[in-house]
Amino acid sequence: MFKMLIADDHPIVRQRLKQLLLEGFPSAFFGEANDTESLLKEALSKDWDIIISDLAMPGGGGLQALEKIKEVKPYLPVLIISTYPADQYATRVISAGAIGFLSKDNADEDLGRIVQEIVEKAPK
Amino acid sequence: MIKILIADDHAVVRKGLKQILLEEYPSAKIGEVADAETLLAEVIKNEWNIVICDMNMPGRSGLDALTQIKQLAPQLPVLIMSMYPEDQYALRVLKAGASGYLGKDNIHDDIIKAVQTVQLGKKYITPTIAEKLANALGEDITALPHENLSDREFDVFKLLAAGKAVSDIASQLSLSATTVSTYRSRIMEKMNMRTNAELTRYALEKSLI
Repeated sequence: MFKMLIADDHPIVRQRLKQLLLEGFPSAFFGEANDTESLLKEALSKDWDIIISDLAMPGGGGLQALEKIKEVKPYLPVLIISTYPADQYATRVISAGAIGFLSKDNADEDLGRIVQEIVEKAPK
Repeated sequence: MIKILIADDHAVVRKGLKQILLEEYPSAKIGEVADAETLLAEVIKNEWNIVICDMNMPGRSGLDALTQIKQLAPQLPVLIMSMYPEDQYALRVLKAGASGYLGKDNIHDDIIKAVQTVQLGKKYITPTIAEKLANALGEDITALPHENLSDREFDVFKLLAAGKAVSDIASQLSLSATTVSTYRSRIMEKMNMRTNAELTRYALEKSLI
């Protein structure tokens, strides 16, 4: 079973992302985190196939969490999502080890496809 | 059929909220707008039973839009939602005529109850806000400097604290630069501060930005 961890401090955003992902992954298991601390705790204590994390969250944010996750689990794909424009942050988060950067406003159109591509490319 | 208009600049929030509302009201007509100008145009053009509006949107703030909606359609209930903690903004938006205030932490659980309550012509008050209201009755309302600002001054204060230039604020709020400078002087006087950096520090300390 495919296991995804969604981290965002806005519960409506988490629910919407989960709904979008369920369309492509109807049997997936979803974990949720609402701040940086809970993201790190969940990410490091359990097995996940992918993490989808907001950039700006209480307690440091997705970028700070990403760096710590990559130290411990370098192969775990982390997709960063944000309301900030890609041209300001994409390069920075990808340099820090993210597998991709997605603007939240494009989530409806692109999230399912991007996660599908990440899954297909992931080492088996 | 209930007609609900959602105003939020983030599509992902609008769709998430729409999904929650449609689960409870499958035949509802749900409209979506992404900024305050379009929100006001929709309120003028079409009939809605409830508006659910984000506090922070590009251009005019949700608070500004609320004030205008209350002039255009005083009976139309407006629920304000926000990413900010409940206790910082609730009193201000309720005073400005909102039927309820939903912080990000409770909106998911409370939105349906809030819609049902305002449909009955009542205000939706969470226990946290009720406590804040009760405390406000007994305390000096000048306790916090930002609570003395008018709604417009408060909008300008938040933008100054976020580092925006006077010219940018003027263009965002459709005001002249001179008017914004006047607001800035009044804000500094009321808050007893001298620099924008002091405003920023204060706003961060109070979780206002």
